[in-house]
Amino acid sequence: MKNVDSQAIPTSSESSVKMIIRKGNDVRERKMIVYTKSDGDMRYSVSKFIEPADVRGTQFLQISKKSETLQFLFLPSLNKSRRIAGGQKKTSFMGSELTYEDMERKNIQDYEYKLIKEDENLYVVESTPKKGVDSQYSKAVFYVRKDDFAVLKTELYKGEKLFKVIENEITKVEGKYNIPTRTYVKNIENGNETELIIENIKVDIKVQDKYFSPDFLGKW
Amino acid sequence: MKKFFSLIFYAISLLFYLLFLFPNFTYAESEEFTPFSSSSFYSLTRFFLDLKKDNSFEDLAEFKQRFFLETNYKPSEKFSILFSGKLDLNYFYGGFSRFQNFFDVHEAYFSFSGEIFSLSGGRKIVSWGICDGSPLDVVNRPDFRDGIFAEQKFLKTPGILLDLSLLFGSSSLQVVYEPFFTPPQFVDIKGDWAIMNWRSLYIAFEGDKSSDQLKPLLDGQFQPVVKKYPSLFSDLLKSFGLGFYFSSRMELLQLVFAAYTGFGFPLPFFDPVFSQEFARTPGTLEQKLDISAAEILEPASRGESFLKLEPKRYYMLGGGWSYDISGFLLKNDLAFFVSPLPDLNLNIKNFPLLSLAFDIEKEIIPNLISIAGTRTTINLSRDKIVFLERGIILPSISLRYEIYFGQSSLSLLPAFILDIPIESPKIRGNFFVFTSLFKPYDFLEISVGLFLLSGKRTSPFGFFKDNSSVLFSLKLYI
Repeated sequence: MKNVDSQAIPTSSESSVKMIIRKGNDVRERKMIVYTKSDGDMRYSVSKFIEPADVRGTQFLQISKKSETLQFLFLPSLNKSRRIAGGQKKTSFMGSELTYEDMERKNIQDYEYKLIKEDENLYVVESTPKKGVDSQYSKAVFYVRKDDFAVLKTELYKGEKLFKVIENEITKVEGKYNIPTRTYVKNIENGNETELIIENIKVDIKVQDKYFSPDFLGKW
Repeated sequence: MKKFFSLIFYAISLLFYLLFLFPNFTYAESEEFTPFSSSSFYSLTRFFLDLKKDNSFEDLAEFKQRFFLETNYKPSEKFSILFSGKLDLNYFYGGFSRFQNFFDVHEAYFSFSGEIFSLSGGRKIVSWGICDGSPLDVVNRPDFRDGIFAEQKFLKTPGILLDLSLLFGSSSLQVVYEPFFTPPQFVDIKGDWAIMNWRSLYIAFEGDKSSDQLKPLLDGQFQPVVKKYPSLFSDLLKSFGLGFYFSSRMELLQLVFAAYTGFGFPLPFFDPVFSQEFARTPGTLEQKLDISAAEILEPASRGESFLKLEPKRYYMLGGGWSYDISGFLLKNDLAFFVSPLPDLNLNIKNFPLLSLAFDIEKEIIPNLISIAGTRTTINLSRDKIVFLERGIILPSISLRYEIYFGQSSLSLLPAFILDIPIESPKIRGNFFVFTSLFKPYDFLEISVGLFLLSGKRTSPFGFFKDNSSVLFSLKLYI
């Protein structure tokens, strides 16, 4: 899993992302602009919702180090950014099947790993949180491509029950970065689905630091 | 004249709307940066029904229709413009049935930002503090026109200001300069003279005191108000506002410091003639508040002004912190004020005050957040302040719960606030507010609310208890 965690990632990126939420026959779409940046161990990402009108202007900032992740949500109706506390990670992100915990970067030191299967193309690795680590999931099973250590699928369990499946379609961008350009999330319990599709991405471009300051949320 | 300005505002808003809807009319797309614009327009229809109508002047029901447009355009990475405006069409039924309509440019400002700074200027709202309802949040004057149950973003009057933010690492410094005083908004006090309901200070009527319709009311519940606002030109140097807000983050800890001096602490100020007569009137404060202002003014200067909206300079120094520990998010803001306020005889004096907000947030189950907290204000002076007296503690418990039914969501937001005076720690009044918001579609929000205030007439919640009401609202994004 160290190889997974240390994959080459762009120093920065700007992308247009479409979020599709499917619940039964009802399908809803959200569009956002996402900036990311990496600096040593630090990872930054900020998303601004531009559609539909009821969530327009909502911004989500994530600042993560290897050991922890800070999350902030800016709500235009309050004209204020709110910190998402460590104890609020089970809450749904914008009505999708993703929770704030799903969005955060995992500290690989917090989990124990076991190789449970291996074939020609894939490693199947089971991870369980170490004692004292707060997680809504009892275990996760990762399907890792042998060639480049890209995670193609993640199964998340609550107790012994499969709760959520996350599948990634990986695109090689600029010939060197494995970017999940389509992420598909299925909640097994209720059958709901969420899809994140990167429609347009520019990597290693100049993205100003200000976008990743909680004090700049709501100002762009 | 008013119609002329309204027409200009409509024309400007329409122009902005068209420009931002079709940005390619005005700007060529750059290769490095893709210009983008986004707009939202909604219609909000609200119906309030008073649960208690105890005098003939009080309204029984309010029907409020709002159209709100917000649009922002970012032609380059460094520059953006935001414009928002609203049109309110209100009808009040009951005591004094009437229409009240206003059109506002809400916020209209430009932002220019570089690598480590952001400069914005124009008509703008600035929010300070870590907690919601923070005592540090003092930059904008209140907007009382929508009552106390307004949408959050319309509780403040946008001020004309310059806002410079400097970012360095995980810290930032914000400097806000208001070149001149922007007054709070009271209902329809547009001219120099207005009449105001004694019980509910935020409800006032612009009017001609010699008109046949309003004259009888002057003998009853309604009295004149005179605005003594600073002049834009002659008082320019003395009525400015200036504030600094420093924020820094270290791991799970956030710290903020704030300093502000401004004009117009958000309270009305009483005319000395009225104050003297109020002091001479026999009875306790509670009894006196039940006497109409006109009766108190007798035999002094009936028909003259008794309520002056006369802003004075005040100072605030404070700070706050938040820390995440074992799944609990602790938030605290503390501010020290020196502010001109009315004593028990409504004489204006400078009072030192300490005001704090403290919240503990915790996720109980997925999508259910509980917030326990308090808002406390302590009067550091020997003299008592009207309503506030020695100080007040407002402990509260509130919940934010979102339930999903397929794509529809139901948000339940109950909150219960107690009023405890510092000098005799027993419950004096309470405020229960419950709002539920149902979103069957992205474009539609249906809301039902209940607001219950109770307590002694001399207490902050009791003073407004006649405003207990139920609300039904419909918001439609177009």
